[in-house]
Amino acid sequence: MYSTVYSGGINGIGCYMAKVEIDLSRALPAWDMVGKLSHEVIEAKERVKVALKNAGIVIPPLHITINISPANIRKSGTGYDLPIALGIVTALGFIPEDILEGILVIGELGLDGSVAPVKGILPIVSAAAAHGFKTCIVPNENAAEASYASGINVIGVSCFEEAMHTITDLSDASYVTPRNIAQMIATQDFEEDFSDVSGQAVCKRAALIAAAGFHHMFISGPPGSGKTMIAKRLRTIMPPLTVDECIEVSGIYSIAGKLTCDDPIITRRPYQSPHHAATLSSLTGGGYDLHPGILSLCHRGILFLDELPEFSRECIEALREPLENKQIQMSRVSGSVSYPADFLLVAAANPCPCGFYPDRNRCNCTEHEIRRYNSRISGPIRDRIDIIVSSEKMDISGLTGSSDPNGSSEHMRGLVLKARSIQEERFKNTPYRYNSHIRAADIGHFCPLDEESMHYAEEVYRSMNLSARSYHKLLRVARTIADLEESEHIRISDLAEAVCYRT
Amino acid sequence: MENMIGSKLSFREKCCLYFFQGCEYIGNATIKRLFNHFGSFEEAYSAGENELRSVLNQNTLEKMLAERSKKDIVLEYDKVRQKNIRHIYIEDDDYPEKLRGIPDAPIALLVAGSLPNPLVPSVAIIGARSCSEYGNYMAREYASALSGAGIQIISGMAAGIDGIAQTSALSAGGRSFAVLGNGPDVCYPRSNESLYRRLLLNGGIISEYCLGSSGLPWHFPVRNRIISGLSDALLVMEAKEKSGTLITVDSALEQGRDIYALPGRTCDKLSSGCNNLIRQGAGILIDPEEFLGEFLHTLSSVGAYSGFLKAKSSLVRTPLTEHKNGSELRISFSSPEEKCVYDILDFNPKSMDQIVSAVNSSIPMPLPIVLQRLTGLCMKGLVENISGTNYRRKV
Repeated sequence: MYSTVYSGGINGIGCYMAKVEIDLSRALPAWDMVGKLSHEVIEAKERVKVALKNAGIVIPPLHITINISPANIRKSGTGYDLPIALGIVTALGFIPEDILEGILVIGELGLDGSVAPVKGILPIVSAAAAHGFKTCIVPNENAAEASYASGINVIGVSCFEEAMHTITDLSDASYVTPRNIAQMIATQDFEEDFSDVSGQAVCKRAALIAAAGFHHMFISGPPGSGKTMIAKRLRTIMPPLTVDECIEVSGIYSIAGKLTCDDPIITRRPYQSPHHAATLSSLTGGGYDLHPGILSLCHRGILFLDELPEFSRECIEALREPLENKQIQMSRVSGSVSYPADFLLVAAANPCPCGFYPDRNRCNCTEHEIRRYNSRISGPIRDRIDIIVSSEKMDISGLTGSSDPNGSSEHMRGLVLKARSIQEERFKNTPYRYNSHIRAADIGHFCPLDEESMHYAEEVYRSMNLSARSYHKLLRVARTIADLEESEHIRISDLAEAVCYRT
Repeated sequence: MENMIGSKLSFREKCCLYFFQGCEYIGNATIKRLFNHFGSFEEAYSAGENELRSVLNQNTLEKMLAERSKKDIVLEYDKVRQKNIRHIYIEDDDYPEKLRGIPDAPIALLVAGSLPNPLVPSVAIIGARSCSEYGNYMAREYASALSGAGIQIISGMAAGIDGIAQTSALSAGGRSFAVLGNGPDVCYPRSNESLYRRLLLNGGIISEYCLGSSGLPWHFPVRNRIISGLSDALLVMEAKEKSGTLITVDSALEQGRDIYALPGRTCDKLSSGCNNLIRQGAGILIDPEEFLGEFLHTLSSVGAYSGFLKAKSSLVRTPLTEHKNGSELRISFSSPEEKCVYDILDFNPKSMDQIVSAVNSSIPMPLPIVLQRLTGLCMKGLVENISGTNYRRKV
């Protein structure tokens, strides 16, 4: 009496297909589970026993051996309950064995036989489709999420009996169909809008450039000057996610268990703003199960770090790797994984501990305090930030003035999209996607200067005493400004404006 | 024994004097009283409890007796010489002549490096510790103009104006002297470590406190009398209405030194002390060159520093004979927008947002144009960038 059920699991961001093998032998009654299983997988024994009993299936006194292969990968999560239960009833002969071929089964069982949702469904089902599985049986709450994996039929079940019933008569099953992602992307709207921000012309312009060229941005300004407002609205002007990006981002959210049945897919760019008391592992992820952290949850979106100098030093330094490589490499006892983390960093800080420098009528901070406060953001982090602006507390005329039609998110997004399509054209057949990605070696190729602007750039380089790195930053930002102005060449005016956003 | 040459005191006497200086609870005036009563420091040091009681109160006496039984005064004094620091008694030949006349003149000084040259005029530049960009800039301007003319700069090596003035004096190739409220071998604040070392080479560190003494809060107002005492004029760059700087002004008034203050906007707290001084009759600092001319003129009219002044006669200027013409009239702007942006800026740093909104209320222009003109002005050297995102005019 032997049966096999196919299932899958997550290992960091990657997925593996697992084979749940069940053998029932006439020997001393026992229940053995092998295959490098973590605690919650072994606990399936109790859940399955009771769930089967409550479904009216009596397990005779047999020696039950369960192996989940590949046996060298550590298994975790509660998704193996349903495959084990189905495997036992198959081995007992309730279901013909060949039916289970080509079907992926995942789900957690309750004692009453109900099927509860599990984490990581979307990437597992996608991987299963790639492995040639045709059908999958998943918990009802996860069905909508799973349906976004293409090339595989998704059946949602809410209890064990239903699962058994469905599997014996697949021709009768109703498959879950996904909603049209492209349409969802096109119709999304945001509660926030840039027209809510009055005044702050420089910050808004900087945000426009940041969104257009995916430049990391730093806003310095006194408390209450609208730094958070700007950061929150930045995603309203960014180009919408593509369908592939939606699936990619949703996969990360799925693994983190952050997709709900009401909101089974992420169609908006993520926005994460961790509090400055955040721990290192909450940002980078990790733990025994190697879960993704906040830096990965804002992949393709915005990471807003308010009060950057108040973050712990190790947290700030942890940004270096994702800012450079757009991913996070993690090594723990349970293995090593790399999570994607390609986000747009918006950092904000007060200019000094009290927030009012250089207004010496209100700021009493000593030179030393100011220096120490600012030195908490290390040079390597500053180096990776292309745009630096200050926000100012608005005076009353700025608050009451009529809003500028050019300052709405819709108008700004239009400009960003134009600049984006210019970049797409430029970076065809290159590893780059945005101007901010251009490496130093390719700057000369992608940011050509004519004789006049070359002369100007040289003068800026000399008179402003720039380093090679900040000169390159200047050219990248100028490239984006030129794209926004739909100019093929970087002009003097683009360079002159870019100078104002430098460190 | 080289620092005994020219001294009016024997080695043993100096050891005893240094012992009294090292007692935190015995002040300058008490040491003088002890000397007057016993006729010598050694007598005072070795006097019995009953005799001392007539000069010292009970509390001080007990502390002093306890300390006397603990300390080896010769060993202590030896440390001064080992560190190459001079101990100069008030009657000694190299004691600064200017200090001798001031009320409560320090009975002895510890000097690392050298003392101000008595044949060259000295000016004190002092001001707030947490100064504004304006004060910072002006302190640099005055210090480098004065030390460029060979004048010695005296100050307190504190954070802010003091340190800035002394650093720029040294950078301009001049000499500068710091009067500390702690031992001359202690660098306080630590952030001025490099200034401290440069002062040892191109000036000196002066203190009336013993080696290793950490600056106690009441030391600083007391040392201010030495700053003003060593100088011929006192320049106040920035001071709040209640500021330690004004203590130096008080002692300068008492000592009959000239006081000059840098005017500021009436709404700036850091200038209110200075503006008040001007209202009370202090000299007004408008332009470093003008001040220099006026200052040298005053010196020559009283017949001081004749040797120095002879060499610098070209700089001496009678007050208010010349006025600089507004230099901005000669600036050639490349566009009306550029002039508009320049007109909006002044010497106080303004943020880009402030500039943009001010520009829009005179000549409305698109934001990128404002930023481009700003960069243009920076490159012409007319405007400078402060703390990343703020701009102000350059003088």
